[in-house]
Amino acid sequence: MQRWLSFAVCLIMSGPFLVFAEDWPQFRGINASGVSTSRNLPTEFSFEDKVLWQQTLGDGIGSSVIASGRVFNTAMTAENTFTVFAHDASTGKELWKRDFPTGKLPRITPPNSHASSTPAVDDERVYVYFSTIGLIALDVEDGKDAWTHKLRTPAYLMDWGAGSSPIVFGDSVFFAMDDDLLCYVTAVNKKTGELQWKTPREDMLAGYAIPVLCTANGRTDLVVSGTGKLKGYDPATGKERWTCNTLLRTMMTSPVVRDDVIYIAVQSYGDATRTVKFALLEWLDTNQDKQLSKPETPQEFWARFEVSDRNKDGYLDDKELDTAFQHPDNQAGGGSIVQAIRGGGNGDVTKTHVVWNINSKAPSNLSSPLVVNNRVYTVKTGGLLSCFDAYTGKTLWERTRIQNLGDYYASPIAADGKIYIAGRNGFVVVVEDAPKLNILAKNDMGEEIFANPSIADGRIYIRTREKVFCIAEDAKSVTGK
Amino acid sequence: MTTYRFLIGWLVCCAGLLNVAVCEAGPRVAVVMQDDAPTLEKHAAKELAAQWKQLFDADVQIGSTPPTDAIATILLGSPTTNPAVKTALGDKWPKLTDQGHLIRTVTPGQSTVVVGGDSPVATLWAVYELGHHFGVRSLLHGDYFPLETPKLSVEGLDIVKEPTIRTRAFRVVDMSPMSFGPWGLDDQKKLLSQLSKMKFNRIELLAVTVQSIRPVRLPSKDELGPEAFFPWDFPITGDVPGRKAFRGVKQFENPDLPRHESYDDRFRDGQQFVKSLTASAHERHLSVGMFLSMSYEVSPDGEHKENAAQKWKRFHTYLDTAHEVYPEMDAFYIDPPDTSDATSFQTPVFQKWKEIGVDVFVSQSSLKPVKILPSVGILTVPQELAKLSNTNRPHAAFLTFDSGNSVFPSLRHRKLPVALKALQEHHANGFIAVCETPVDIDPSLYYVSRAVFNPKLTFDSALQELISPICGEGVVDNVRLAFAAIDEANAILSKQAPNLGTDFDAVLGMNGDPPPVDAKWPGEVRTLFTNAMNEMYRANTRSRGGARAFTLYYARRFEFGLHFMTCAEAIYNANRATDREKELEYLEAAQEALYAAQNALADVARDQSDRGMIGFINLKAYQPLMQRLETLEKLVR
Repeated sequence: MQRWLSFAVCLIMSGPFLVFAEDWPQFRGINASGVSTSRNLPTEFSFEDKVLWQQTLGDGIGSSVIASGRVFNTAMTAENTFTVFAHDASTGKELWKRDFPTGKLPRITPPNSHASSTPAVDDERVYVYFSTIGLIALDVEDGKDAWTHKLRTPAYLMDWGAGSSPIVFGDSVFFAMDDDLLCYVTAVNKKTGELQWKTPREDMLAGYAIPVLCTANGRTDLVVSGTGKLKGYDPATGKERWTCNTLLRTMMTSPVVRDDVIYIAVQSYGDATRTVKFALLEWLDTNQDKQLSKPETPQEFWARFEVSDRNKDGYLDDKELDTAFQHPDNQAGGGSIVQAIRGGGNGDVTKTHVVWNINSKAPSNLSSPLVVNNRVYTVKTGGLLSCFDAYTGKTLWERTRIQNLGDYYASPIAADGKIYIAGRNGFVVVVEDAPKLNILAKNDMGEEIFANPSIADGRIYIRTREKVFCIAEDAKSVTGK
Repeated sequence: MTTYRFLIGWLVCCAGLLNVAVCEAGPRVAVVMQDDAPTLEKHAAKELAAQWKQLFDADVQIGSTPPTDAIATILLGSPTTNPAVKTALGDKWPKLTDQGHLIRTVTPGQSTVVVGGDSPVATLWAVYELGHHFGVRSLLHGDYFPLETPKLSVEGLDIVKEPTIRTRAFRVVDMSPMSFGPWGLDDQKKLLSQLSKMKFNRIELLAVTVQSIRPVRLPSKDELGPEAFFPWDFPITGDVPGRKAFRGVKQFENPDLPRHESYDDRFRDGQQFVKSLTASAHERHLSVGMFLSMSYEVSPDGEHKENAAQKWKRFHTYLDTAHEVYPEMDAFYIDPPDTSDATSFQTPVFQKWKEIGVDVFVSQSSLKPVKILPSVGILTVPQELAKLSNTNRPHAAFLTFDSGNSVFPSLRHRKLPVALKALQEHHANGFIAVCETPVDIDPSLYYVSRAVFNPKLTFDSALQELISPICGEGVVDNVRLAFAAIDEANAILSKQAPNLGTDFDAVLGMNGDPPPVDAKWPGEVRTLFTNAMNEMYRANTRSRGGARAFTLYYARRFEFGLHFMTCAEAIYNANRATDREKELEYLEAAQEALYAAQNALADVARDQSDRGMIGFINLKAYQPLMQRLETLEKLVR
């Protein structure tokens, strides 16, 4: 009975998704919400306490995904080896693992990892992305190859490195890749890996938002946030249905959908005038002569350089830089915003679908917002938690310390009346899901955390930099495994 | 042609005796040496093979005759150890000291080169010099290979190297938690290999009274337990900022000198540590010296003062005991008793040590008041060398690589060349390189290792030589700007707040007086650290496929400096605050800045010295700051 009840709750919450509520099938769970219906979750735990099992995987910052009693993770297990793991969710027993040679790896900037992407999973396959390979589908039972869909290795002006994750919905695997060279969103057939459609996003800069689905007015849109714009696409064709031009230059956080409203919280360095040109002149212009030479530009961008060097003097000067890498029709700058945008529009909805929009110093540039019980939570560097009313945008509290300093890459997740906030320093702070801040616990996981924790079947899965821990209320002691 | 006939004949004679190492792929290269070559030359050949495998993917064959398809032939050794060298160079082998080495193409236009020295260790150094020629840069933590594969050609090479200072010692054990004290044997062995590549030929161990490596048992009153020994071991709990650097260990300590409860156990471990380290050094042809820093102020029973005769007797006893405990030691450096006229007491002591054959240097920072016999070696500071240069007395000096134990980034790239020049001008027999915070040492260490063989080398040209091959063109410009900013910041700090990076109790420990509210220097220092950090991040961006580990390390290290200074400024503000709310606000800012500083360093921490610095700051600055914050919070909220 309880299972069916959960199933019903799931259907209500997730709209277009048909998965068991207790699964956590992709980045931040169902529709990237970060919310689970699991109950009886522990408040106090650590790397030594309430550990049902743990496994050492290797370097990685992608989250665990869980479906049908299996936990899937990825890691770099050797310098040029990318590995996908499947473990039994109850025991931690390794069910299978697959190694993939990566070839020559692209440059990335620490603390990013080459194993940065979170898999997506359904009943039959687990879908994984790797920068030098593309999309890979493996049989959930035994890890055997289902298909591989080759994708171009992304390129980043600042060598940030890849960090996008796929999602699965209906018969498709969706994947958005916003790098600094050739952005796109694509759908491939989840059974065969064949291309269904690929829509360029040529007015975007590098970003890491995961696609989400929003059902409004009886229609489901694939929603992708990016430089300056939140866009809705037809999941069947990839055709752009609407755009809301209220976002910022660099969109590393992901949107969250609640009912038919899409919530965005993001900080992008600098003010509204700070386009990407300013960052390039600050960091790529190594001799600080206010222009970029070819050697100062990554080789992957030399073709773009030549096209943009209109006067052919061998330099990208101030004016040429304006549009060399950032689209002339999308010169979004920096800022710090929290927004609620209603889905289901058509065309330019900038003036019609913004429910509320506030400028606030609360958002992080990395950690996505959490929407639960009509409240929007954000956490940022310094351990500063903020909370807003989801209907009105009213501030309930802003940048209040949760007594855990440092950076926050992982996004908060919620279940069982609690919010779990994982700091880079390896502590998971638990606060009450309530209108007033109430810190319940601060739990030490022993090593850095970049990945969002995951929740399924009354257990919390915490992917630290090298390990994965399964935390459960009824786990008695350290397994030592 | 004669050379090759000789070699072919030699092949026939030596058939079956060849020791040929065959690699799998790449261009074939021959290393020609005798089967009965000295062990160290065989090691040199292996080092060369490994180096060329990585540089050129070369298939290096080592044997007494070259394969016919080798595109380059290296004749390894000296005329006395390798007949092929004698035949190839004949009269062209120059007059070298036992440390001199060369790389010389046999005949212009040919692909045969002699790589050797007048002793086996000099031949090993010649191999490392060849690697340097092709762009390999050996630093404290390992080797960086060139960004672009160089052309495999040995034509036109004529490099001859002689050191200007014969004994080049590096202090590998001391008592600071931020230096080499916490390095275990595994780390030390890697360090010895790197020192060998940089042509150091001695290591030095500092044995002070709080260390378990000391040979002399202390008076019983000091046998109070573990605290009598190396005191810098501390727990790494979850709330230590930057704990990622410790990789999960729960106790920071030298892994080979753990905190035993028993005095005897620690004493035993310390001595075993020295013996293992000494054996490893000798395997790498590094001699070993021990600095005995002894106190003569109180007698062994702690009860009475001693006269000059008694003190010199104790000096004698210290040396005797040290030699008895560590007979493998090649040299001792020792503090003398502070007595005005001691000639009569010294004579028998030094006469005995002359007979034993172990070098003994007496340490003196000033040549007064102790008069040491004219034949006895003196270890001093570069500024005092002028007084010794016209004497026959052996003399050496400390070469310090940093500004004491300050946690601020410091490169000494102005003072170090002056000190080294003094050593060279006054014909010092040796130096002991001392670095209490080796976190920033690489550029300076590289400079010293090269300038010892080339007195005309400037720090700036050494920097170019170091950076460009491994990071690419253009990067050195940013590095220069960054280092200049660090230099300027240190100049201000040494004038305005010389203890800011060392004495946390007095300065960060909240009791110190803040500078006047309108003082500009804190902001200037912060700006300089910001500029240095930005330049290093630009260097890191530009180096792309190159040695980013190098550039990122310094970018984060300078970021540490920025955050640390921000923390200091916040504490100054807190100390000036007139109400508790404001004080609390500043202290929270200070805590956050210090937390960020620790994490910046932890992100790139490479060794026990970096970890030691993080742990030390945690203990001495972060924890006291937290305590003050908590006390204030209770009062305010």
